[in-house]
Amino acid sequence: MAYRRRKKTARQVAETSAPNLNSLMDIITIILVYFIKTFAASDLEVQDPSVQLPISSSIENVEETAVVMVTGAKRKEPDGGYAKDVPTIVVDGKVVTRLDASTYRVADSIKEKGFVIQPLKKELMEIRKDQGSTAAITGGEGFTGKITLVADEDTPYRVLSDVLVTCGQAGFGTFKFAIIKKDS
Amino acid sequence: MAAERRKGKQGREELQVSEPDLLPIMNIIFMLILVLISIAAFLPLGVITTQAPKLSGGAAASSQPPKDEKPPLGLTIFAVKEGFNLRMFGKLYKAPEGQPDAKALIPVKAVEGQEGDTEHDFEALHQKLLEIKKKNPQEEQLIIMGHDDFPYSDVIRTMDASRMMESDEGGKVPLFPMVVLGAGIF
Repeated sequence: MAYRRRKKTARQVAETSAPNLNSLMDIITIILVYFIKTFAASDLEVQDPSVQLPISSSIENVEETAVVMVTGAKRKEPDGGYAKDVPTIVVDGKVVTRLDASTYRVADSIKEKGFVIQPLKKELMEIRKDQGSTAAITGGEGFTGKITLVADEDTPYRVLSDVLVTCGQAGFGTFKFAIIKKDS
Repeated sequence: MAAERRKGKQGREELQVSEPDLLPIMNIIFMLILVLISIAAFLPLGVITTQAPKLSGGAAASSQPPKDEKPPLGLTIFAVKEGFNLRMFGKLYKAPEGQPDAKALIPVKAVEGQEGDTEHDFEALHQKLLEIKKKNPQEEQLIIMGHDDFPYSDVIRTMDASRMMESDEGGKVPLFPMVVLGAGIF
């Protein structure tokens, strides 16, 4: 009798040994959906190895706007080291002008009134026009005057003020400085 | 769905439905998660909102307020190489009281562990701004003007020192939340 009971228990163990993966599948699918949603919700991505963003205590979230990027004078290499690079001004992924690498300044020859970077102003005016015409078709918000500045942490104030004055001249009056949140 | 016929306990045939093999799907999903984790930057990005810079020749505003009204503070932080100077009510403060030979109102400080290196004293600036806010609680605007080589990271740190302060209850409240970057000669 005792032998038969033991035998039955062993068979039961054999029958239930295959793990039920359904609950595990649920968990993993939820994690996957979470990750995809997190990436899809981000309005700004900075993947340029020449841009190291500064850290700030600001808790304000990123908005979807036109982006002006000022890259740095050094590029992070995959091995963790740094290589020299030419600082560049990029608008929505399009290179507008390159800075003088030796002085880390915008060349005076492309500026007017000492501050306004002409190629940048021209590009921003195009964006402003596009935003207006897109809104006319879609019935959207239109030109908001907002612009996000993604700049390397070593960008000198002179370059920064040139870029900001130019944005102001093109009608973009509200700046959003991209930072890495300190407390998150 | 695989189905097979087996004999039951009493010899009758039972239709037994076997569960689908989920392991390959699990493997794919697991690999997807790993890929997503590996490409994720995990940098929580945010922004600081400011208004367009004002071109300035450094002179005080020429318009005179009515006599019975308090003149605007017009607080401006000048980040010079030697430290921070402030301008309030049109007057530039370049040295602490009783120290006319000081190089700046809030001079740069030595960087800990790096002999010879100096950095701007953001904590001292914050304390100075708290004093100013106590005397002018209604004021919210501030202009920052940096020297040509003042790095962007220090601009952000100056903004951080200027925008918020600890409240008595422990939370954070605005100090000078309307920060404007200035451009021009000073």
